[in-house]
Amino acid sequence: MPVGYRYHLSLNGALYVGVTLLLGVGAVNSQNNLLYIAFGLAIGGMLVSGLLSGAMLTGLRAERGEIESGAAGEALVVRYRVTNRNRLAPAFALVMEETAGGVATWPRLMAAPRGGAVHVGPGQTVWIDAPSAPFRRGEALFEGFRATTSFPFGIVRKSVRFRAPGRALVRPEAAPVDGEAVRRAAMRAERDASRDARVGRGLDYVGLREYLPGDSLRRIAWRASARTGELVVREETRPSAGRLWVELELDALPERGGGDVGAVERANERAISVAAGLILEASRAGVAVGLSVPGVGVRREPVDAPSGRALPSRVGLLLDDLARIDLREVGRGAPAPGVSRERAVAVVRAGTSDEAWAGEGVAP
Amino acid sequence: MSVSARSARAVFATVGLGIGAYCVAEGGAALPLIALPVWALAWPIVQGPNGKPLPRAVIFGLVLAATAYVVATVLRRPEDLVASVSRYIVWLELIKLYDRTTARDRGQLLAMSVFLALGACLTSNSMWLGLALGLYLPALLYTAMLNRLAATQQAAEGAQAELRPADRRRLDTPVASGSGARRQFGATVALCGCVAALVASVVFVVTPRRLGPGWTAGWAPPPVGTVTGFTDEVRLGAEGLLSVSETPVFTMRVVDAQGRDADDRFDRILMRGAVLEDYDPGAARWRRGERRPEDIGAPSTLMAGQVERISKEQSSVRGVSPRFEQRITFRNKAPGPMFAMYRPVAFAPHSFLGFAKDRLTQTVDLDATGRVAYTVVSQPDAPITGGDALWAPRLAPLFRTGRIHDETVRLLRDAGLARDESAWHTADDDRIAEALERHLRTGYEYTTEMTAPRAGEDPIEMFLFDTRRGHCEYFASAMAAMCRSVGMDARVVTGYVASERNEEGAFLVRESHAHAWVEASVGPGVWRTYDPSPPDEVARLHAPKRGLLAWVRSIMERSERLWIDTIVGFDDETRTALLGASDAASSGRGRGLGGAGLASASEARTRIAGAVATGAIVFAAAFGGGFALLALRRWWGAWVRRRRAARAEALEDPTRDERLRRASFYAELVRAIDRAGVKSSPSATPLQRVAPLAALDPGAADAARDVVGLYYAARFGRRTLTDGEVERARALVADVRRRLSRQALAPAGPPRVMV
Repeated sequence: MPVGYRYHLSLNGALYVGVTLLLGVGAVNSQNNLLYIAFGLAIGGMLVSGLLSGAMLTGLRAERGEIESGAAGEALVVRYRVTNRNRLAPAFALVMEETAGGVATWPRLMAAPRGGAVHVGPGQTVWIDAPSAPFRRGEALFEGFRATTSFPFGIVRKSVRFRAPGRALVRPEAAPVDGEAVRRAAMRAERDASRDARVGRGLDYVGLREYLPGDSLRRIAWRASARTGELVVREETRPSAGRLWVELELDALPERGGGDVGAVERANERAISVAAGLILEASRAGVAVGLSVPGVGVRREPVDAPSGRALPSRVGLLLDDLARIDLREVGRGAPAPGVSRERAVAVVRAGTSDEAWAGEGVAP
Repeated sequence: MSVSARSARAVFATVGLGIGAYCVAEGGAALPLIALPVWALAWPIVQGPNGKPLPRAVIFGLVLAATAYVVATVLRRPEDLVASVSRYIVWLELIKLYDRTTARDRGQLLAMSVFLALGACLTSNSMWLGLALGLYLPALLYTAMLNRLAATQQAAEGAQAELRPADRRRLDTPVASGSGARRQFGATVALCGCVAALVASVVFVVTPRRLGPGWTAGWAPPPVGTVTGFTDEVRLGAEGLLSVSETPVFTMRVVDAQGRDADDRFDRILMRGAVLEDYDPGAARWRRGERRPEDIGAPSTLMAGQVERISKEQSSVRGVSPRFEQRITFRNKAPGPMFAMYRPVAFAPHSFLGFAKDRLTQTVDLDATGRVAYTVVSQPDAPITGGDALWAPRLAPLFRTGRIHDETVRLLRDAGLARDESAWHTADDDRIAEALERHLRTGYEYTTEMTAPRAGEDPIEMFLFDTRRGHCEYFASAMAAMCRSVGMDARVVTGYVASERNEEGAFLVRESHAHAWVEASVGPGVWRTYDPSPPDEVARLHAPKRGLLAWVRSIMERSERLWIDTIVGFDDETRTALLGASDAASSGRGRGLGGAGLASASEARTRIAGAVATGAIVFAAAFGGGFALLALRRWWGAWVRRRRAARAEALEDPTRDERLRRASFYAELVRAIDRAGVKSSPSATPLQRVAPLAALDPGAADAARDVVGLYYAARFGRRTLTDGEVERARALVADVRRRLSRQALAPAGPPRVMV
């Protein structure tokens, strides 16, 4: 439901009003009847502008669709479902945009998502896509949005605000890494390390794990699910392409006056991007990837995806973990245990990591 | 066509209409000859298939040049500020048409176009400008609203443009739009136009006039409608053909002292305007005489209905001298003389105006523009006695020696007359003037084709002794000169001859009716009118024209009168009477004018109601015409597109006609289906048309589908059917027809409708 209507007088509108007043003065001064008509038309234009835009927005209802997670540098699309409940008045030239302020944090991550509809007829519903390209990772909180129109003449802009809390994760931008190197490193590590059972679609039962979107329904262990109350799937052995831990070592932000906070932030963000790139490349290479960020207590075991469809979800979980990292919390909570160097580990260390290191510097 | 493309076209057209409207207002030929071709070329050069905007450096250079030009023009002629600025806007618009055109640029073009239209309003208030604005305003409304849609589309597309190319390709989300957008947009534009016109009408009627005219010096209504046929000076010696304009100047009704129409009592009335007493032989020019301040008085103002005395009312020996009121309505007056029948006694304006009175010549200059109306009371037959103290001083002597003097003396001698040249007035002055008038009327030829005098030759002498032909100014000048040469006071009077009647029986005076005649002093303070121009020739020249062109002109004149009555001439008096607030002005106008009044309140109401009704019709017609033109333009565009597509298809596929001719069996199938009562939408595809047959007769449906298959092969598969296939199709159609006719014989059920 709309929570408020508002008129905004733009610069164009102010100019219009000024010219209208000038016209009135000119008409009175010169007694030129054509100027009187022009003055009347200008006032008529103002009235029409206010009334029409008001009537258009009065019957407008809008809601925001679910915002899909995006990644920094990639498109994040906010979708709005807009219904014109007016019986007669069509709505023209609608612009949808998110409102800033309050709890909204999206302005720190992206430019305002903006979309438009040229026309919404009476009783009609349209979907409006408002894309934006986030420039950094993080959790974007949305408070609400508004529909604005300056139809018909651009003199008055009227807006109607809708309250619609929402959130979206902006995953880190994946820094380019050498995927083949990652795969070879993981395989080498596998040869050297003690062999674990690799989960997959094989013959030998390994265990159970939680259900992930994309898992085949055939693999759900229904009895175990009934027992635990949560969906779990069977895991079986399969030939493994390798397992890789990505360990991300972030630097704690220095205290106020203790150092260049910006530089540390940039280094940490860079490391997070490299970690994201590693995760993506390793996953594409068929390597089961785990993530460990000791500084903020994140630890997610490598899991061989049971099928290709579950892989994006699995990778998504890891990337979401990276997206949620709050650099201010680094080193303040209980640290997660590090990964044993017995396993294949790619250590991404803030301030020292780069693509070459990430590709080849996989420590056994 | 996308919204942006439509907006670009609409802006281009609207800017052209705005420039055209200003050209109409300015009236000259130079601006349209330059500006309109430049405007027309902008589209193919910038928006054409291989078009592109001019480089920015060129655009900036042109803008700088135009700015420098306008600054120089304004500095040189500051009085032409409106024209200079308006022309500057024209140049800026034209330059910007050759620039890039985003929605914002188009908005700027529209804003400039609006300012140009205002410049046109300040330049002219002619009916043609009104018609041009009638076309321009709906186009402006449509374009401004369309441009908002284009701006929205561009904003949404701009948000996508900031994404990475891969994301843009992945998204590919067009700007949302519901169904029926064009139709609803058109209806919204029409609604907005009607509401804006209604508000404008209310504001136009309700806004008080005369609140504060003249706050800013020099900002006056446009000086159009200048009485070009009339001048308050006479210049002789020009060469060429005297051009005549048929533009109406004013209408006049004459009523007698009892308020009865007296138009029929006069065939021809000389309406005095300016009285020219001084002749400058060097410049061959008659002009008004020098005046002392006490003779002319200070400029003053009159409210509607206020009466101003011009001269003393005279009584005849039989009682009250006949007095006539002339109710004169100018269509579009410029400041200048008041016109009246001699001898004016008093006048009363119908609305507020300023005036300056010359008591010696009994003339009045009015400081009023536009639709000026006033009533004058005259006593044309009043015997003027010496009781009137306002005698003019004796005029300066003219041509007291030389050929004109000698010729005049000879003429008088031949007529048995002689004059004491030192006397101001003699008993024979009237007879002398009549003799000179008669001589000129009969001995000289009237012509509008003039020749220039030789160097050093006076044009009056040239007329009298050399060419012996000329127009009214020569006749009047010659008579005045001859009178003055023998010591008799005479002056040239310029004004109009009222002889043509309009459809309502009132006098209609045109610019071509401008005339010059003579007033000679035949006694102390007694001036008598003499017209030495050949009356038959003048009457022929002033006779109303006949034929198709005259009929068209008459229609145009009525329209112009309507325009002036409703729009240009709408004043405070009209407003007051229309709103019914007070009849004071109407009822008080006749005070002191013998009770006849200028017009009754009910008459004024009727006139105003008619004017407002016609104004509403004009408004509606203007907007309706504009929208009709837009609709016609849309229809024309669609027709052209269809035609082009058909031609392109025909060029691409030369066998199309032959293929379709062989597939004419489909038309037979459609007829058979229609005859069976199976209704379908005209836009239904062939398979949709035959689908309902399955419910009637599955066999017929199968056969019809086979026919459609063959039709598809010919129509869309571009395959020329063999003779065997055509035969088979016709057989199938016959089978369908037979089966359906059997169905038609079956008892009728409910109507079958397929949409």
